[in-house]
Amino acid sequence: MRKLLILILTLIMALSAVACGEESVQSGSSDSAGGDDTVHTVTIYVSSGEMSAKNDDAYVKSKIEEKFYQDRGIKINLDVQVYSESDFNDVMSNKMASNSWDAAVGYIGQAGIDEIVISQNVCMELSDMIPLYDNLYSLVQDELTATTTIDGSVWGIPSLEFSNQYGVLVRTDYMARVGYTVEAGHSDDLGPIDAKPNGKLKTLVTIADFEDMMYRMKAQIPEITAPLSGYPWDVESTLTVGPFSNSGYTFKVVESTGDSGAATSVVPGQIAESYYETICLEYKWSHDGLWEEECYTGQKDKKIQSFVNGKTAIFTVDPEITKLISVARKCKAANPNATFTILEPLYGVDENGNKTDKRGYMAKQKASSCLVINKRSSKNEVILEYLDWLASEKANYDLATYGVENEHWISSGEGKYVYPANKKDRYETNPPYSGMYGLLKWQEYSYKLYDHYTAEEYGWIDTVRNAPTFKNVCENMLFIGEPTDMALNHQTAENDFFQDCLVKAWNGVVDPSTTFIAQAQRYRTTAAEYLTWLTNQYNLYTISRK
Amino acid sequence: MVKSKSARVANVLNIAVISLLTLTFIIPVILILSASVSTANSFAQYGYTLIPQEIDFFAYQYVLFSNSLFVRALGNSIFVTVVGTLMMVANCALYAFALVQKDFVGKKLCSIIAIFTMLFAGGTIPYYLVVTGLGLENSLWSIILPGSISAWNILLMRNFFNNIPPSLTEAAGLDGASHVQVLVKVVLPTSFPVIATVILFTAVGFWNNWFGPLLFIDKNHREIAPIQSILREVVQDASAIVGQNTDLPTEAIKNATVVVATLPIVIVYPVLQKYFINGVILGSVKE
Repeated sequence: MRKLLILILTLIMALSAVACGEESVQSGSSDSAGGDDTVHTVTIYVSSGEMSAKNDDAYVKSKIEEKFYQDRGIKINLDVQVYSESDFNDVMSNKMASNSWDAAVGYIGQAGIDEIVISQNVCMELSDMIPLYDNLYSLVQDELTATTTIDGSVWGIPSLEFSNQYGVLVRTDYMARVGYTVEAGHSDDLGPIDAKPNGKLKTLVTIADFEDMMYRMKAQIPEITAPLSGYPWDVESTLTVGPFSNSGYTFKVVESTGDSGAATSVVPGQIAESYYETICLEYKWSHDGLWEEECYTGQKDKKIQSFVNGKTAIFTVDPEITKLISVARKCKAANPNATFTILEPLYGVDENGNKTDKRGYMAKQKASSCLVINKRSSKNEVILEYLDWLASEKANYDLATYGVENEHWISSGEGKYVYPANKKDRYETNPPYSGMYGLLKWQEYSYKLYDHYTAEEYGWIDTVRNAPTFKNVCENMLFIGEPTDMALNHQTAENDFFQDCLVKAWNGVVDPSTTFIAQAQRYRTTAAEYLTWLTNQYNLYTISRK
Repeated sequence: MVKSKSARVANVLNIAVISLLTLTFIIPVILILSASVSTANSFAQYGYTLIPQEIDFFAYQYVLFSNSLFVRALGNSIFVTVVGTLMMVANCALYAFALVQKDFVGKKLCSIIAIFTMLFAGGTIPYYLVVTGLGLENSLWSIILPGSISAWNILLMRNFFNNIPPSLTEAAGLDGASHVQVLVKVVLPTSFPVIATVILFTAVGFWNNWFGPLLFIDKNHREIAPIQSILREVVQDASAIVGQNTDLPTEAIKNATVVVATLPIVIVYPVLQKYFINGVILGSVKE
């Protein structure tokens, strides 16, 4: 035993001496060979909650690089590494510190690439470079404002996603049981909440109808524990944004303007007066059991489970339309008699209960993500050349996003594709290609939907794509560069308001009619400097973009 | 012996409390096992249940075979855990042994340095820069070396070594043993309890470590990634495609991942425990 111990100790000490000094392997920013045969290795870190490595990624990469060389005469080695949104922050912080990155792709927004990367002053300014690439410039120029700061500096290449993405999934069989329908023309009064409809039907039109429907579901359908399933930000992006013209913290609101037309007060949406009605309604829904418990904290999988079980009737969790369809299919598989629809946006009502003309879903910012280039990278031209190549021909972008045509996908009509027949079962379980080399979602440039939807489901997609939308007044404005001490006060105000007013309202615990005004005033006091800064930034952006 | 009434009552209460605690520990494990073999539909309908409603081992098939690097990753983890643990024991034992020597001039300074590192850390970015600066990026040594010494374990061993009767080491010294021989032939054989403690906690730490691989092993070197990285990828991949064209039992996959990740430690731990837990100081001198 002792001899064995001595031997092990000796081995360990020898291993320690051997360990250090391994040849450093650069994470991809080096070029090999020289002259015309130079292979430009470009390291790009991508933040994505939906993308994961697939079996044919390497194969598609080789095809892309081969075609890029044929078309542009440049040998490129695309070192694209995809991380989940939660890991991206940790990884990117270290890569920035060690300068071992060429470009990064991520979403713009809270804890997004603008906060993690752009605000760190490590990105290359692109205003002079992008116009040199005609295809790229003509494709993205309308949305370049999303990555442009007040001084006209351009910090990234934007995505081009569809604005109309969100919807609300509803069990129409449950609606029918309480007398509601989405078919037009019905408008009978259904009587007391507890009374069965007895064949009467009412067309669901306004937010008031919607609330009445939920009360009836709660009272008349014992299977339902709470009719509505959705996180507050999802509910505020779909159900309440139209009637109240405010989507909470994802919005900024211009509260007042001066004689010159300049804004005198721009505030985060959740402290604006227009949000008061929204939060009071949400409190009422939660307090009266119309909105599921843990609406704010519950896990997404549990919410899906509840809807599939028939315990909720209205689903608006992560409400992108293809995801809603997927949930509907799961529910149908478990409940063959269930029927569904995607709601049209609801109308608001005035104080007399009359329908107003305000309705719509929140518009997703087209440039919701962007690609930024390391200002110390020598590969900026190669990266822009690659993006220009993607923008030059749809076939290039389709190769980089969907894979090799006729091997990984076959066109089945405008904007649709199917898998090759002999690979359909395998690809449906495990798609062959991740799409990582497409880098940015340029949906308005080229978009393909997997053609496996029914006519009814395609109708739902059309409903969403054609629905009226509300835009954030501060769309495409980068609010970065907040001074540190101001940011601390701002964050304190946010946290306090969130915990003391919003969360308690969403949990149905404290009526915001008793807290909102005081809490909003406290926010304004604590973050007064920030609000002044925000207003100035808004005005400067507005002026610079006229 | 006849127990008094109060003793019997206390006994019953003890049994009840311990039984309750046991249930608290064991029920989550059963729920995880049950969920890992449940189908997506049954999970959607019934959620977590003690007895699975519909059994399907697809999740295990997915976890074990969807990623071709699974077996290799297992080997990587075993290597990292074994080597890292042995290095931890060796390094900490050497450091602690030096600290208990009366004639070691720098003893106090070395103690302070060890304690200082316990109280203050440089943060993730300096840690990353040091490891990559040493050229350890994309190698298993980036995970092993930083975790191969711990101030806490040094102090633990030092305190244990302090309690070893000096007569043992003095006797060895009188017989002509060098410091190394005293350490190897006298001190370490009598230190099984503390060595066992260090081994157990260190091994679990190395086995479960996923953050180091996240920072230091990039996607192009996944063949050297340990098992926790691969399993984490499996779970993230499954979650990433929720709502897309495919339909995987993500909850079952997550739970199957938990089972696969912890099973080796759960199997090894009780088997080795009986060899390590030994409070007998061998060859003690009666005074």
